[in-house]
Amino acid sequence: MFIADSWLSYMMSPPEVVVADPSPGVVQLWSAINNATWMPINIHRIIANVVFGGSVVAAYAAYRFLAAKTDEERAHYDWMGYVGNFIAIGALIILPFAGYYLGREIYEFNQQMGITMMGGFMSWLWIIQAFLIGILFLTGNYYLWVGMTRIPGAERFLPYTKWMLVVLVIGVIVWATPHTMIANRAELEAMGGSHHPFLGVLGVMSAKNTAVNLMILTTFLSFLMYRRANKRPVVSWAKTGTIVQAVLFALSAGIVLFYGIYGYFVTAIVRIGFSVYQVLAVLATIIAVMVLDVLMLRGSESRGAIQWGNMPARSQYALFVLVVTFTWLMGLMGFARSGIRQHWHVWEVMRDTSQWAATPALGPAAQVISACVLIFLVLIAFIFWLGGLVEKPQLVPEQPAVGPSVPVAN
Amino acid sequence: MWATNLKILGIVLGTLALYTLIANGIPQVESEVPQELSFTTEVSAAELMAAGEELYAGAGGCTACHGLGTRAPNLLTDAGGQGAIGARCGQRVEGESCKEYLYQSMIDPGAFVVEGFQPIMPDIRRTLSEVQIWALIAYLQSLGGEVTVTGEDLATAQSGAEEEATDAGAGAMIVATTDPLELLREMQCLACHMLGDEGAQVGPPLDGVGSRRTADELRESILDPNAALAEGYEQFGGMMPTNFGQRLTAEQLEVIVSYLGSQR
Repeated sequence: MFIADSWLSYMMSPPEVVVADPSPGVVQLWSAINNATWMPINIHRIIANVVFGGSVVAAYAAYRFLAAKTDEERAHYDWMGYVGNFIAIGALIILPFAGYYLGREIYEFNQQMGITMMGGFMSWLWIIQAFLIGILFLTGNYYLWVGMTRIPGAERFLPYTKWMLVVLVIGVIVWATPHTMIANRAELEAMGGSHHPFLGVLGVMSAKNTAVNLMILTTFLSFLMYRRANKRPVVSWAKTGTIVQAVLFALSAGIVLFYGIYGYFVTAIVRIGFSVYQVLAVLATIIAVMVLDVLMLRGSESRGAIQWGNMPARSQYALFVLVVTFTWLMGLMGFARSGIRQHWHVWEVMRDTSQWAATPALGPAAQVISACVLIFLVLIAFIFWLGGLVEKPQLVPEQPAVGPSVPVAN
Repeated sequence: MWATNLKILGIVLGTLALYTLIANGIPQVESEVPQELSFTTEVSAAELMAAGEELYAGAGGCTACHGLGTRAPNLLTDAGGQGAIGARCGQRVEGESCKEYLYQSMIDPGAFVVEGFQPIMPDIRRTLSEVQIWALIAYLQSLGGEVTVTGEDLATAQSGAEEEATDAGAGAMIVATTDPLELLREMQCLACHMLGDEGAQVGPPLDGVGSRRTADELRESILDPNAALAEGYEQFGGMMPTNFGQRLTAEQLEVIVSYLGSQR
């Protein structure tokens, strides 16, 4: 992967280390490999592959769960699906930071390329991305909420889930609100300016960052409730600890909301800086609450074992939605990364002068992405089917029921 | 199990179809390739404007910043009651006509940056030809102003570009010799560097340079002279030409590197 990343990143960001001319044949080999976007892409892809792997394993487990004939089998694959999904969602939370790192390097290498990515012909792509991540948040939380039905003691948390759903839905709506879109003269005239009179207010980064951070907090709360569902803390400070956790959540949400609203009253450059405070508040809360939780639940009493396998089928179908969405999202972001080169084979070094050099709009790109996802999933299914063949009893050499034992070569 | 398999297939295909439909339902913006324009001096203002509008909205990439009004001034809408860009361009810089100002903005965008915005615009010649730039100017002038771009501007631009190409062609092979000393003289290296009794003492002397620099460092100093300035000569940074990569052949470069490396 690192080798493949070297040439694709060179095409995006050919280095100007030794000479002003970054043409192939002039740049030294290591400089060409270790270009501005190579390591950011390597890191991004490693994490993304963990997300990928987790969701594929979860989907495989879901299939085996649905096909299971015994309770034991069902319990095993239920657990496997949970773990796979946990790995996928856990890595997904880190992925945006790797994305920011890559984006920053792209901007530093060439601001025009960065602007094309975020605000040029690809600006609508980020609305689709917001929609897909919204689906991931909603489906991931749904899986956790349904999973809580098989945990004794979780019923005390279930009434809160409808309010969490409200927060998530509003968050997705705000995040997916178009704002800085390219508009032609007719569209500008129809809107009465460069931004829509109503959507322009919701679509700014102040609102979007606030929505995303509240969605992350909500998802973390879902996970926390899932984790604590069947546990009863025994430490003396359990009540105080829970109150501190609640205060931390409230404080974090307050900071996020404060900077979100305050952002409307300051200039853009100041507003951008506010997102750092919002992210830090959420991250600090996640870490602090988690540490408290681990300490508080040491030696805790059980309200009953998790009833693995006692899951409705609809939760397993949610895992299929997740794997398709993750894979589709990877394809979409791959299109964004590659597409920002536009008609350059190698950015500002070698043009693609063929008749096919135009970078397609999202519609045709989406058709290709869907086809790729389908092919990928069919191949994965084929590999799992092949792997499953060895489980078939007829492939295991049968031992003679009677008679002398057959020596087996090791 | 077939019913379950069909359900799974339905969910997978349904999810894919939903995403594909949504992606096809939003405005479709394609990144086009800038098509080279071939106009004669008889070209009409309407033809230039049409070509310019196409470039502005598409391959020129202008709307990425100018279409929003947040990263760069929105050229299509009014600004401070002065109207769209065609109406206000003539008042931007004193003594510059609208046409001159717009041309300057494209080839040297840092020369005048509108208050409240950052100097983020690149030299548009990196992606567009001179003729395309003039077509863009004609379109921008038409937005509230009078189009003054004519076929003469294009003819001047085209002849200028040809001269530049000829110069560049000549410059690329300015000398054919592979004699290192002759090359050092032809390339005017000795105008600043001393070698034996010859040259001037502006830059570091070339005597003994082979014991101070490796071959790689010598090559770097010739091709990218500002990458690592010699100690004591920092104040001369930026003086040495940076186009030896274009003016020397690979063989000539290696001959010079080898010759300087032997000066111990």
